[in-house]
Amino acid sequence: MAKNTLPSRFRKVDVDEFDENKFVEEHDEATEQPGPDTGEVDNLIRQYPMAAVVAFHVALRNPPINSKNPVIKEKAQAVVLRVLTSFKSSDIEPAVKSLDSNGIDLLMKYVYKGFEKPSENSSAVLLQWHEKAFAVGGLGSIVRVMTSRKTI
Amino acid sequence: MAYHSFLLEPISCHAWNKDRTQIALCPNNHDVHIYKKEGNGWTKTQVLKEHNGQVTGIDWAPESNRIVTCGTDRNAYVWTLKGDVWKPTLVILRINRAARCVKWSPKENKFAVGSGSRLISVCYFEQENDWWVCKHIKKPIRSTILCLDWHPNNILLAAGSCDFKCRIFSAYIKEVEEKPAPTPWGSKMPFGEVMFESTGTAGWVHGVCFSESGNRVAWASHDSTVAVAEGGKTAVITSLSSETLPLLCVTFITENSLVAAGHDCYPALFVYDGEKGTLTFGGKLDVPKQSAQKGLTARERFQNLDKKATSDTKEAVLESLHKNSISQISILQGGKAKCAKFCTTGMDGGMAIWDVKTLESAMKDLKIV
Repeated sequence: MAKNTLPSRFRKVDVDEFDENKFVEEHDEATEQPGPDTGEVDNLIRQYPMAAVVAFHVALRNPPINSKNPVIKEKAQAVVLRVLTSFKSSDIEPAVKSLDSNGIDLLMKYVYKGFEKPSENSSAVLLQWHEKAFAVGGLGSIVRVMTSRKTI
Repeated sequence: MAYHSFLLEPISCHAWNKDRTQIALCPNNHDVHIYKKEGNGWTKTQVLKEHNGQVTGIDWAPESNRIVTCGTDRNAYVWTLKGDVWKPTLVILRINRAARCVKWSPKENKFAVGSGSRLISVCYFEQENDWWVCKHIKKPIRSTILCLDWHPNNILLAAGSCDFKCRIFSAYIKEVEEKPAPTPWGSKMPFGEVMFESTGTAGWVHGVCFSESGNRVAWASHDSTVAVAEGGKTAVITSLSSETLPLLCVTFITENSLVAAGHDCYPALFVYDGEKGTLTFGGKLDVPKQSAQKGLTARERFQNLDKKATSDTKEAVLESLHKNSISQISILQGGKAKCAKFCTTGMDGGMAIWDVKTLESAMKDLKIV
């Protein structure tokens, strides 16, 4: 059949890159937050169950939202996952109740981030946290995870 | 609550005439159907065929009795009634993407069209040339304009856009009106000036509405939030993250109360307290739940456990009046200050008329301030 013998390298050019009206994301000038302090969280986990809720709050502090560094994000995710896994099932609900609405949204973000890279037992634990957070935050908190452009 | 199912297809947009006896709507195709109220039912009286693409916005000017429609064919038409027939006049919007929404200004001497070309076309009638001319508001809009609402002073225009911002622009056209008086949003209002830009919203802004006085503007966005901004030296923004699915349309029913509806298929009330600076969820405005709880036999219980892993008796049937998302809400009686009736249309092809007094008495704890 007919084969295109003319040069077709131009087809590989991404024309949208050259569009002067292209949507460019605004760079948020907020200070970069380093993620939760691993040492502090480790200490508190060791003192389970007394300090469990405190560890939880510390882990959710300083989310690496504006950071472009994937290492910081990975580290933060790992810390939060450790705290979430160290909780007993019956303690999850009171811990979730102690969060305000921004905290619930943040917890949901970490839960969904955890779903992306499942490990040994993580999904089961995350599903329990998801259920409790959903009971408080409702569908709105999940929608906010999906639509937010500021990923943790 | 009256519910009328017009069609099986979604109603893309609707508009009422001045005395609310006729409704113009688009049944998700290229036409506009006009229905007239006869007794308890609605009969189709006219079909307006001119658009080559889906009609995305309709507005009916109450005093001058003109209809403006806009569609995905990048055109807008102004329809005037000549005898019994509606005659269209094409308006060149100079846009190269679909038009998304259209609104007459309060004095009906201009209308604004929001489009996917990242601009708003403000059109006014030029007497000498006997046709509609448009001016563009481009900066600093960076994405599709989804919704528009005019301020009562006929100059300011609120626009919600896909670039996550709700803005108030000045649409002052010196050819058709005088310089406006200062408002809480600012005093210098040259054409295209941004009087207010929202911050903190993280989703597309689906619906925007000015209050009756024009001092407050409310918008609903796709991250399931509703926000109200109050004009002043520095505009104060109060927002509420809701636990429901995103809301698509919002309107003020008094100076302090908003009704918004969206993908959850029922209208919800929100109350704004200016002094405390809070926005709270006031209640679900919908038909009361039919509690026809039939007992479950043991067999049904096991079947439920097997199929759905729960022995919950709740069926997967929507209990709301609308069976699909509500896309537009309009005030029928009372204006935005003391609304007595409002109407919602949605993707289920149905239109519901809600009576505020009945809702207030039906739902206990519902306070419309």
